[in-house]
Amino acid sequence: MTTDVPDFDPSVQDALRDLMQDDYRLLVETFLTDALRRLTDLREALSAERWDAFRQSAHSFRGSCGNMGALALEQACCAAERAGLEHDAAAAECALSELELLHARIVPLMRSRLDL
Amino acid sequence: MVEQAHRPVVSAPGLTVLVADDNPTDRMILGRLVESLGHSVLRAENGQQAVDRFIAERPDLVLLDALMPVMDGFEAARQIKRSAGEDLIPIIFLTSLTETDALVSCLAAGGDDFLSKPYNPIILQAKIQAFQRMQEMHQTLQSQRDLIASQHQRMIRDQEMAKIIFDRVAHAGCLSAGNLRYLQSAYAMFNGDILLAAYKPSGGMHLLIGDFTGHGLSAAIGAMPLAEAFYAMSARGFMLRDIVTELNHKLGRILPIGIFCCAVLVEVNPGKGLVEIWNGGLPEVLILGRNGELLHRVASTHLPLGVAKAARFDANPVVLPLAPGERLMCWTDGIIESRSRSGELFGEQRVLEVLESFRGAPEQAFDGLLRAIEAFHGSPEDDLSLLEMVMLEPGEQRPVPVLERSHYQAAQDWRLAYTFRAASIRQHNPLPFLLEMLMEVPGLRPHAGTLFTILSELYSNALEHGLLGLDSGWKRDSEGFTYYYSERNQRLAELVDGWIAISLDHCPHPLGGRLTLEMEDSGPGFGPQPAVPGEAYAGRGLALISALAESVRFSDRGNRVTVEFVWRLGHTARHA
Repeated sequence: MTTDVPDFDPSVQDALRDLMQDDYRLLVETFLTDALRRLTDLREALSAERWDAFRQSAHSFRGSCGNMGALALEQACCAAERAGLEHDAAAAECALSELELLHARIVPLMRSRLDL
Repeated sequence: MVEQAHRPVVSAPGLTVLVADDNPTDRMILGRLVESLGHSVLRAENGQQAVDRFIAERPDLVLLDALMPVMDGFEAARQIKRSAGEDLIPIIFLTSLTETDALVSCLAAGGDDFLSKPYNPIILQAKIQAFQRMQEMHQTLQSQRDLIASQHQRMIRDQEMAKIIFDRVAHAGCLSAGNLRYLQSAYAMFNGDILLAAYKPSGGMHLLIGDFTGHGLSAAIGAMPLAEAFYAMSARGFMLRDIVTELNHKLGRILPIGIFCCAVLVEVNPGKGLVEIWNGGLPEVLILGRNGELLHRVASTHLPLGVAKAARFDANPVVLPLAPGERLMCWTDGIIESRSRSGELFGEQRVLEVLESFRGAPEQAFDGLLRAIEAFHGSPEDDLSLLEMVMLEPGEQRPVPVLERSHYQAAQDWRLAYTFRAASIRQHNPLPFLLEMLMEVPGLRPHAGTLFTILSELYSNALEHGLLGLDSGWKRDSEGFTYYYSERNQRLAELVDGWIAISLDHCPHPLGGRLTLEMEDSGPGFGPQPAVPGEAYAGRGLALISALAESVRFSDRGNRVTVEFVWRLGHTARHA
C-alpha cells in the first residue's frame, strides 16, 4: 500500500471551517465517530465475508473522506472497495489494516486542529 | 474541494432541496453547501425516509445518494418520480461510483444528473441553477399547455354551438327536395362551404353553392348573413339578379378585405323551362342532357361575392333553356383541386371524362364522380361540396305558400295604381313590393305563388315586348336564347323613355274576393296572340296566366292587359 499522499489537505479543512462556522467542531466529531463505526463495520463484514456490506461500507467511507480532505484514508478506502468487489480477502485485510493505521494517525491531527 | 463555499451566489428565489445520504458527514457538508446557495434543505438518512419526506413536503429538487441502507437510491428515485407525476422534479445522484453500469442504473431509475464526491460548490451551484431554469420552463410550458387545452375545449364548445345555429340557418330551405342531390363533406367543423336552396313563391327554386375564403368560424360568420338574405329575398319573390346584387353588397360591407365568397347562384324556372346561372369564381357549372351528354359549360365570368363595389358589379346571369330531365351540376373547387397522394390534381379534364363515362346513365354520374374522386384521393378527408339539380316538368313543383304573418285587421277593399318610368324600370324590380302589398290581404296569402307568377309574367311581357321590343321567336333555340337575354340586358340598360303602369284592385265579397290586375305599357302594343301550347318558349307565359286566372283580356292595341283572379274562403288549394 502506497502512502505517498498526505494524510489530509489543510486547505479543504479551512474551506469547511468557513462553510460550517460554529458547526465545524460538530462536523469533525461526526466524521471521527462515523469513521470509528466504519472501521468496526468493515472488520465485522470481512470476518463474515459479507462482501457487499464490506464494499458498500468502504464506498460510503470513501465519500466522506474525500469531502473531509482526508486524502490517505480516501485512497485506502478505494483499495478496500476494490477488494470487496473482487471478494479478495487478502487484499481486503491489507486495505483494512492500512485504514486502521491511517485512522489512528489522523484522529489526533484533526483534534489538534479543533483547538486552533 | 470546497473553497469558495463561503461565497453564496443567490439569484433566483430559493428552492426546497431534499438531501438524502446515509453518511452523516456528507449529509452535513452537502446540506450546508445547499443552504449557503440560498435554498432550504430537507434531510434524509435513507431511501425510505427520502420518499416519505418527498411525499410529505414536495421539495423542488432531490439530491440522492445511490447506496443507502433500508432503501437504496435507485428505488427511492423511481418512487419519487412516480409520485411527482407531471411535475418536473430533477433528481441528482450523489455518487463516487465510477462503474458505467452503476451510472446507467441511476439514469434508468429516473436520475437526471450526477454530482460526484468530494463536492465542488461551483458545480453544485451550476447544476441547481440549470435545473431551476429547466423547472421554470417546464412549469411555463405546462401552464401554457393547460391554458391552450382549456381554450381549445372552449373553442370546440363555441364551435359546436355555432354549428347548430349555422346548420339551422345555412342548411334550412329545400335542400331535401326530390330533384336535388348534394354532398357536403366537411374536414373541419366549418369548411367555409355553403349550400342553400329555396323554393320561389312562384314555383321553381333558387340555389346557392358558395365557398368562403378561409375556414372555421370566420367563414361561418360570413355565411350567416348570406343565408339570411338569400332566403328572405327568395321568399319575397326577388329575381336572381336582385339577390346576387344584394348578397354582393351585403358581403362587401361586412367582410374584411381578403375574405369573400366564390359562389354560383341558380334560378330554376320549370314553368318556363329556364335556368339562370350566375357564376362568380367557382368551377364551371355543367348542364347535362337527358342522356348525360354535355350541353353547356358555364364558366365563372364574375368576381366572387363581396369583392366588387356596386358600380362595377355585374349581376347579369347566363340564361339557358333546360328541359325536364336535363340536369345541372356544380361544385366548389374541392372537386377540381382534390389531390392524389403524389400531389397530382384531379382537374377539370378528369371530371369531364368521368361524366362522359356515365353517358346513357346520367342519374349515376353524381355517385360516380364521388367514387372517382375518392379513389383518386385515397381518403375522403378533403372539403367537397357538390350539388346536382334535375329539371322537373312544369307542373311538378308546387309553389309553397308564403309564411303566415301576424294577423291584424288589414284593408280589404282598395285599389292602388303605380306608374314606373324608365329610370325606375332600369334599376328596380317592382314585383316583390307589389307582392308584399297583395300579401296584406289574408285571403290572398295562400295564393302567393300563383299571384307572383301572374305578376311576373305580365311584367316581363310589358317590359320585354312592350318597352324593349324583344321578339319571343328568338328563343326557339339555345343560341337565340343567349341572344335574347343579352339583348334584353343591353336594351334595358339603354332605356330612357317609356313607362309601365300597374293597378291592383281588390274587392272582397262574403265568400272570398276578386283581385283585378291591370298592366299597361307605353310600347306600340301587339296583336293579342292566342297562346299556342307547346310552341317553343314564346307565348307560354300567357297560356300559363290563362290557366291560373279567372279571365285575361287585352286592349285593342295589345299594350294593356287585365287579369281577374278570384279567391274563395276555405278553398286554398285551388292551384296545384
